[in-house]
Amino acid sequence: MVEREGDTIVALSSGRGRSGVGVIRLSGPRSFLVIEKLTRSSLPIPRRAGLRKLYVSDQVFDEALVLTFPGPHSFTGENCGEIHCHGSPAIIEGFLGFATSFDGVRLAERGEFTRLAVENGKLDLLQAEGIQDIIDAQTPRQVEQAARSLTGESTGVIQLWRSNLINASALLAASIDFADEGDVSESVQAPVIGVLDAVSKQLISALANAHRDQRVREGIRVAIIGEPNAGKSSLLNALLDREAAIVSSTPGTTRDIVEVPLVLGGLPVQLADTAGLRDTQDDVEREGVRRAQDWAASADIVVSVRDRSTNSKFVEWSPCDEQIIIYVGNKSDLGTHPEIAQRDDEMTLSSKTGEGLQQLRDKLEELVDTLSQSDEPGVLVRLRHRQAIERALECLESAQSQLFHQNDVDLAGFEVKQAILAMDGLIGRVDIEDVLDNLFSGFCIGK
Amino acid sequence: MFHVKRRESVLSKFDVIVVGGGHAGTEAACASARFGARTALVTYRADKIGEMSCNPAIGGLGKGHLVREIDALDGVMGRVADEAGIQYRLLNRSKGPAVQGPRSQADRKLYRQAMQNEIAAIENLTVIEDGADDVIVKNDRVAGIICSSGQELHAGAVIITTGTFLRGIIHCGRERIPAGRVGEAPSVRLAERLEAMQLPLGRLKTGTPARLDGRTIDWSALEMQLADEDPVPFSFLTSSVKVPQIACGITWTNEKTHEVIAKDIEQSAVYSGAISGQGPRYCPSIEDKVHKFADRDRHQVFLEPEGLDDITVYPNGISSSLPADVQDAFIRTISGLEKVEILQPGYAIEYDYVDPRSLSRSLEVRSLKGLYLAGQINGTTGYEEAAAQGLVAGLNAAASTGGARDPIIFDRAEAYIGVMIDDLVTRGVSEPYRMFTSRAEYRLHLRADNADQRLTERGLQIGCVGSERWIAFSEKAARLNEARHSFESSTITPNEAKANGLDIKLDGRRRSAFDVLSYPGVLMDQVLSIWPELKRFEPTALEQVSIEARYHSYLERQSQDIQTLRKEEARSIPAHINYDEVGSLSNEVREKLKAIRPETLAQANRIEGMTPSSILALLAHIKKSERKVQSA
Repeated sequence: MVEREGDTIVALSSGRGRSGVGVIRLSGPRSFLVIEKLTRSSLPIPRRAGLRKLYVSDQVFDEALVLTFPGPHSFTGENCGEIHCHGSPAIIEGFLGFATSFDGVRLAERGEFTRLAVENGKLDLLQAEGIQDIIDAQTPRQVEQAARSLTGESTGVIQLWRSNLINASALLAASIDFADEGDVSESVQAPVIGVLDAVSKQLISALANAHRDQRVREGIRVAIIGEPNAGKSSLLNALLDREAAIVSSTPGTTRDIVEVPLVLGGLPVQLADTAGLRDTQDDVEREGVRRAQDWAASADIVVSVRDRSTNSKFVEWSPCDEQIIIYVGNKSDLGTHPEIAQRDDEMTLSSKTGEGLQQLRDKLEELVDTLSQSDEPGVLVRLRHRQAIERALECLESAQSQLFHQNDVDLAGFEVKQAILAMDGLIGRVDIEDVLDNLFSGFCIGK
Repeated sequence: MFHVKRRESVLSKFDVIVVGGGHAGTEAACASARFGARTALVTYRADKIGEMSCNPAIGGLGKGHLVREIDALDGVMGRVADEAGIQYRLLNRSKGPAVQGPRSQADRKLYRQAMQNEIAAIENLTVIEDGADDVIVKNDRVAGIICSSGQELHAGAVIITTGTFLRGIIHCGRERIPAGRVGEAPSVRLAERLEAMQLPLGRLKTGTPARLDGRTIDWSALEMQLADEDPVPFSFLTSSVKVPQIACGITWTNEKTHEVIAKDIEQSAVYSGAISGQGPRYCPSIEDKVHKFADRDRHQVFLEPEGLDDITVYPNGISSSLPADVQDAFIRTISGLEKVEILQPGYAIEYDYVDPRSLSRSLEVRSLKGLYLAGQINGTTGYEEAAAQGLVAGLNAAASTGGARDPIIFDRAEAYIGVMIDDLVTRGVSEPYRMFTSRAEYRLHLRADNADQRLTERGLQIGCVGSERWIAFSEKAARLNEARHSFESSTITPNEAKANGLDIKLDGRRRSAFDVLSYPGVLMDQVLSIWPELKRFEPTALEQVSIEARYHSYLERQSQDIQTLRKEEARSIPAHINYDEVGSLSNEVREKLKAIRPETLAQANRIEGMTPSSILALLAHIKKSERKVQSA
């Protein structure tokens, strides 16, 4: 038999550089052949580790654990192999060179193992996204959330919504296509509205959590705003305990947004220093002000800063939605201007000496923790997820109104089908080529 | 009158030969002849052409759509049905126009006569009374058939439409009779021949109820269902229905009926295990209904007269393969049927079908050029499904012998015909395939009311639409366009609308009569009272505009999906693609692609189990080979 299946791919799956153990993965029709040639021995029992010597050019160059996973019961659905050797770059390079010297064996592209798993139906799109997220996770919350996607729990939730909608759709179809055959009940209005209403409520509740879920994944957004030279950049550096933003006494130094990731109390935070908000003639600075306003408008927490040593005010800022605002009077080390109008909720601190900084840190930590609190597991962790469910919900609301006001089973049926399609796209059934490309390019090789 | 040629005098050379004179065969023969091909229709008995073997009705949900589409392409079924329709009812009248289906009881004799007259009137169509035993193959192409009489007929294309005749076996209780229909011999040799060609054959079954003597029914005890007061004809060329209209009776089975059936259910051919073929889930026998839905205490039975001067009554809803005496016993438990005489017991029939995945979308057998299959042989059920396939096979067979290179294909966004054929050749069948409106994803667009606007112009381009229809269509289209234009150019300010009792946002934007009509709850009468000058249009045009307004926003939403589909349909897959060379396909997907050999990317996408990434891989492969060809 000629082997005409796709290529066999190989890559280092563990981290690069020196390490105790390096894990190399293979997938494809020639995986086992490569392992046999490398070990000059028989394959171990499937899915059990076997200790083998590794040979390259007649020389033993390592002793390693070897595992085989015959397809289709493997991660990618193809024949897969793993070699757990010592993590020296020389061994890894030597082995990758050896493997790719075979015809039809090549190095894997970014995300290719996961891509194969999706293509072969071993993983759905949500699970694949979960793998990416769990690899990128920096905090325990992110791990917990990604694990839900990875294990298929999120898919299960969506499948349940979907199967309820398919039931509703079937009822509508029955009332349309079998209307002339007395055995089908004419009145499907009430039961269908019942199902649609129940699913809609679940979607609404999932959407209500979606903002939070997305924040857990991407980090809570904290914007530092204030007049020029209020000490925003120095506050950012103080919170980070390092120099991320350029600090100078010249007003208008920060013109673009300086965005830095930060972990507060085990939760990811995106902290941003913004251009000072003022009217200006300088085009570049004006653009900086515009961007600062945009970023701050979408932040979860706004830290409004002023210089207490001069008689400056807090900039006017109307918080959007559930945005939380914290007032900080900076530069306490330089003393307080006698005519300053003190706010009750103003936190006084000095970025320079660190006085009062811990209180701000504690406050932020507490807020970030509250914002990330959840009673139930989230499903909609990406913008893509939220948009699909918003679309589905819109269709369901319209379907209910068609049924309720006009008892129009035909247009209601159309809306329900559109809602199902939106959910299909989420799991990865239709129209998702763009998502796939986007998703897989985010992977590192060999995962 | 009928130019039946006996074998001794028969011409033996044609462009297209159609085997079978049922609903697929007649439509195929007429389409082929309309296209201009010299056509022969070979059937055992010319007097059975146009026979309704099962229930005497045409149309229904999904099916009525098919009839309208056949008619829009100048096919015969709609016009013939209008000459035989004795009880018109527009189904789903209370639901949206997209799911309304015209249906009518048909007088079997009138239908047969009208069909035979149609056929006799066609110049280049010859009817030959004979059987077909073999297909002649020359140079890997079909070259004709060998008839049961031994006569050879030659043609560039052959369409086989043998219905349930391929190794048909009738089951009635424990009795098994080889037959295509009651009293007619099955086609065994042709089945063997198709098998020898290695066409994948399967077995299906269907059933029919007993036929009753209407004179022995107590009609006075029954609820009657009347015909619609304003019958809606099938054909766009029929202006009014002239056949007298009758009523049907409605009765119900009862617990006593179910008891009789349950007691002897083991004697039913299906339950005794005598039948292996899969029957339709949506058209179960009464045994199935009693067995599988034991919680129902009654089932509806329609008593449908088979003709104006025919004593035969078709009891729709109680098809059965129980022994004749058991059928007699259970039927007599039904209200109104206590003293009924059975003219012919019901039976189940089992027959061979060819897995339609071995066909291309022109209904040509992929492994044998020039051989086309249409109708029940492809695993479908129903006259309308058969006729629609006949039309497509007839056009393609005629076009191919006329030297056309591209097959004539209707896509899923264009016609129910396209939905059905795509379903058949892409997904195959697991039970007899029936058309439903739910199968059409673009249902709001594929309506019975606009079949002519969707298809007649296309038919003219194909070459199957005659001048009478084209003129009638063009005139109607012109009137309709004028009405649409007037509705769009008559406008009103929000304040004026408010004064007329319409609840419209006061945003200063003028609305057209069409806009106003598209708002939920707004009726045509309200619009006409605001713009009395619009009353000048004929009621059918007003109705059409009103339907278009109602669906307007939905159709806009759907048009993007249709564009995506069309783009994918436009991406054809080379016929000789080697799927072994396409990288990263799972074995399962690869095997499916090899078996089905989809013609376009869109079709591939609809194969069960196809993943988006496999489609990507396939697309990448096609693009790569196209580049190779270009640079070579």
